[in-house]
Amino acid sequence: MKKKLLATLMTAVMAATALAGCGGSSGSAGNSTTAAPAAAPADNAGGGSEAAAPAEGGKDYKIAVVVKGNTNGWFIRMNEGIEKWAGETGINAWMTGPTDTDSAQQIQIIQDIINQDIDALCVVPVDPAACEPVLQEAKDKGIVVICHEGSNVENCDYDIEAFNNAGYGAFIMDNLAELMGKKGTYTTMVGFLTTASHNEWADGAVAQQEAQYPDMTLLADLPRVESENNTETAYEKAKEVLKKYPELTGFTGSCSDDTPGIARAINELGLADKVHVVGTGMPNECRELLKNGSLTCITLWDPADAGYAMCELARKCLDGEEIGNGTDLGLPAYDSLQVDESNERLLMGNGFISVTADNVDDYDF
Amino acid sequence: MNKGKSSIDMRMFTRDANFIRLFIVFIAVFIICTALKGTQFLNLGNFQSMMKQFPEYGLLAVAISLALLIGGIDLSAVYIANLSAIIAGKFLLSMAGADTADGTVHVMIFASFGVAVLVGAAAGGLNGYLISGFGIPAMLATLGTQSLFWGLGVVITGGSSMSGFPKPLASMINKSIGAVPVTVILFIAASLLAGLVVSRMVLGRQMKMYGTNNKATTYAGLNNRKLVVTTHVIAGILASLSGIIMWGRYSSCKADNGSSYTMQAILIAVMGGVSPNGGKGNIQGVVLAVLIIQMVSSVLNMFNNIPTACRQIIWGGLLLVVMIFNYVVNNRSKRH
Amino acid sequence: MNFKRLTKKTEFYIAVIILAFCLLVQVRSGQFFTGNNIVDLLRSMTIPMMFCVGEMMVLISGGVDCSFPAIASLSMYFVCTKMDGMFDNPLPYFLVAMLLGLCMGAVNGFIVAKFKFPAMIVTLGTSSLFLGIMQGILGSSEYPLTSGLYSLGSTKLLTAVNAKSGLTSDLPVHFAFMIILVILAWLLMNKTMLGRAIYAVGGDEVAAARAGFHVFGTRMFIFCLSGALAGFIGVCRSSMLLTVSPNNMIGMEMDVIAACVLGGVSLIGGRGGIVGAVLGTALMTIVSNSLILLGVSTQWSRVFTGLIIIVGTAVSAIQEQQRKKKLFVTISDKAEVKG
Repeated sequence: MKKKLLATLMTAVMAATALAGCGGSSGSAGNSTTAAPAAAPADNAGGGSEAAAPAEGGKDYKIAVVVKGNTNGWFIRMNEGIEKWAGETGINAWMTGPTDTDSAQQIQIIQDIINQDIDALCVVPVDPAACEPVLQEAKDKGIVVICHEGSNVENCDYDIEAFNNAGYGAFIMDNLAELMGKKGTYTTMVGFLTTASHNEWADGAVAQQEAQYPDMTLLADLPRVESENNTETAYEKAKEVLKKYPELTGFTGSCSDDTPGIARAINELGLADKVHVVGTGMPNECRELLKNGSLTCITLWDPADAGYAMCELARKCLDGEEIGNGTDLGLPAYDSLQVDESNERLLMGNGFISVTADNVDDYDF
Repeated sequence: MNKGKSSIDMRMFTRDANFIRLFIVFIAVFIICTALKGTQFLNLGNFQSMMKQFPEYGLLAVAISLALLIGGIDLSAVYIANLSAIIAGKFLLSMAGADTADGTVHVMIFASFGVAVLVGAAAGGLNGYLISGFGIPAMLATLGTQSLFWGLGVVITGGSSMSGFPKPLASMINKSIGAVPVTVILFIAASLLAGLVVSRMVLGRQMKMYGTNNKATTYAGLNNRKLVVTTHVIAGILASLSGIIMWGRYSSCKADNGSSYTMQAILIAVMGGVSPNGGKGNIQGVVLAVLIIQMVSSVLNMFNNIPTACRQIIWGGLLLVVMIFNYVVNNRSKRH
Repeated sequence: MNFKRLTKKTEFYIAVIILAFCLLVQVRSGQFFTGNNIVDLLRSMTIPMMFCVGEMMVLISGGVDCSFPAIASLSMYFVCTKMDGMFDNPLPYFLVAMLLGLCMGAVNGFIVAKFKFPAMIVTLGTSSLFLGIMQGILGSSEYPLTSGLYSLGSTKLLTAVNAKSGLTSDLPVHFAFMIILVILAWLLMNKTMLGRAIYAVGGDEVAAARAGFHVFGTRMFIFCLSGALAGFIGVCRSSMLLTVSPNNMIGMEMDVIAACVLGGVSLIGGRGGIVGAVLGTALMTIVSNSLILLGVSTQWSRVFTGLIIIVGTAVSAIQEQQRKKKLFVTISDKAEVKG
């Protein structure tokens, strides 16, 4: 039995080496080279050309997009934008990401991907601070790094936002304030206290309220509620909050699961005229609620556009084009980028939208 | 007398045979990965990338294996890791800032590592005491402490991640000696020690006896409570080492980093031959299982069009296949 | 049953803890014992309770099933997306989902019964498998709910109004499903031979086989039933949420198992009952839904929940130890005889 096993093993090894030979050569045929000489000893053992000259021809770029969570409807929509861009330009761009929104998993994936001869890495970081070391590695290998939803990231070439986080929060607050008649008590809801972007939006909303709407107050006893990215939990927590604090008349929602959950809660408690909610939402999920009046408006930006924009920006960088104020990425929300005054890596588009019952049918995601 | 001796031999033979089979699976997976991706897989860059990834969850897998060996489980390991890093981080930040780079900063960093290990040991001790002192089933006790440690981490950090650590921290952890990262050396050392304890030392044998039948061990004169607490303290220390690795790799600590590692670690432990009922298993198998999972994970990342979710199909399938394979072969050898 | 015997049961202590907690919340918020709050809690309990019923059966038979959220999610997602708009009546959706769940449960049952692997590990593996199929192969994402199920979800059993605050709460029709399920489970476990078989197999498999119970068949039945139930519950969940959210139930397994064990269902098997499972679920649901009413800030809520679990389980564990000391000497905490 042992001899048989040994024999099979040897055959397998021989077969595999033969296959590896074929696999190796076909695998490296389509690779393009990374521009700068790699600081880390990341040279390919065999195959793969090692020209020190910059990559030639846009068609041969490999652009990887790593998002927060592959299974979230938001990023499935982003993939549509990426595929659209790949189809239009003929460049190989693809999306990947962890199955759960877990920073550690995301970093493992980035670690593997930067070893695959890619030219550019677009990333939507779960935890921007934690990604810095691995993005530094990417940059050391000469990979162009573009971020989205990561306005504080230092190790990137550019961070592109559909807006800036504080501005989006302010936008939510403006919409909410209008519905609340610019007065009343409100609270904010996020996915987790540890979700960086949600909290930035919530902070932005609060800042806007403090600056512009002095007659509104943030609920002091419970300024932030967690929905754990679960629409049923958002619903249950909203109900609890409204029971405990009957003076509350407004909610902001950050996660796309928050807003419909809160709206359902408000509706069921019979408070639809008195309490309002504005926040991020996905049109498909909120369509019924918008149409039956439980929700008045949701805010969002089109992730497909963001995906498209990231890839286009990456390509521009790889082609050596100049990037700055007024750069046009070929989409209406990103046709004239603005560079942030305090951070020249931060590029902002003009992309947030509010969706109401009137225009919800224009969107299909 | 002879019968007794041969039955012991048979058991050792089966144990080693399990390891040999796992090793065969390891070789097979290696060959398949090479066949699939050729030089993309077989290059130094890829190996280095893989080596950077597995120590953090590998240590968690070893920690959970110890808990499984005594017939329990540890669902709080990841959060022990995070909490250790957070408390150590707070300690370090109170003494040094991001720009501190003088000689004493290395001492301070090592001191904060010590703090992390202490926190891990204390947390593990709490787990052990709840399980053996109060008699709470391990699953429930560690579910409770999971929430507790996570919550404490959130309270201390306010939910956001802590950063701004002195640069020597990151360079220390991310350094490589030759081609091998420091974290891998740490993992090997820790696993070696744990493996020696489990396979060769009295404590390990006691752990397995307890895992098989904890009433019998009482009558055999063992101090059950001390055993459980010791095991969980060791597991807590291993978890805190994992926390230190994550802290250094990311230069930041957060209350819920690596939340998906728990299930992965349990899968790895069982794939590595540790029986979830307790009493059987060794650390060598777990280490092999860690390497297998890492190879599969990295190879899957090389395929652009396989959705990451399909990875889960492979984990689940691989686990079941390995278990059924072990069972079938074990049964066949039993009949002979 | 006299009072002394009652106090020896774990269920009694859990009931006391529940009562104490409810009173605490009432004192802190004045809102606990109001009509609409009770209705809200009952609504929250519906899905976890139904899961608990299935899980309890698996636990009593000596195993742990970690795959029911995956089975529920996959069946639900398949049915709601592939059969979208096909029927106005919600019934076919439930039936197909139950069928799918049954098949997946059968996979679990077969592997556990034939190879005698620990159920926890097998179901961890199959859970991964099923979730991978849903997220990877089916490419799951949020999806609008088909109209048949939507109208079911909007049907109310009753509406409670809080006279003081004017707040209303609706009790969905699924609560009735839950009650029926609990009653059926009680009948099954206590009044049928099958129920006896489940207890026997969980208590001591070898003895059960010698007593004439069909161990393989019983195990298969339990997992198939658990699977079918999971499929049913998955569709219930989406009709209660009024939307198809595929990742919504992932992670519920630990809380459901904890609720069962808290209620006195033993992890090793052979002990426990539906009353305990119901009480355990009630406790977990009330705690997680009352933290805000209690005034616990969001930052501290997890610490609080952890402490409640620890204290609750410590109390029931201590009581269990007292019981064991007084009654008999156990040979082993493990039910199975290692051969």
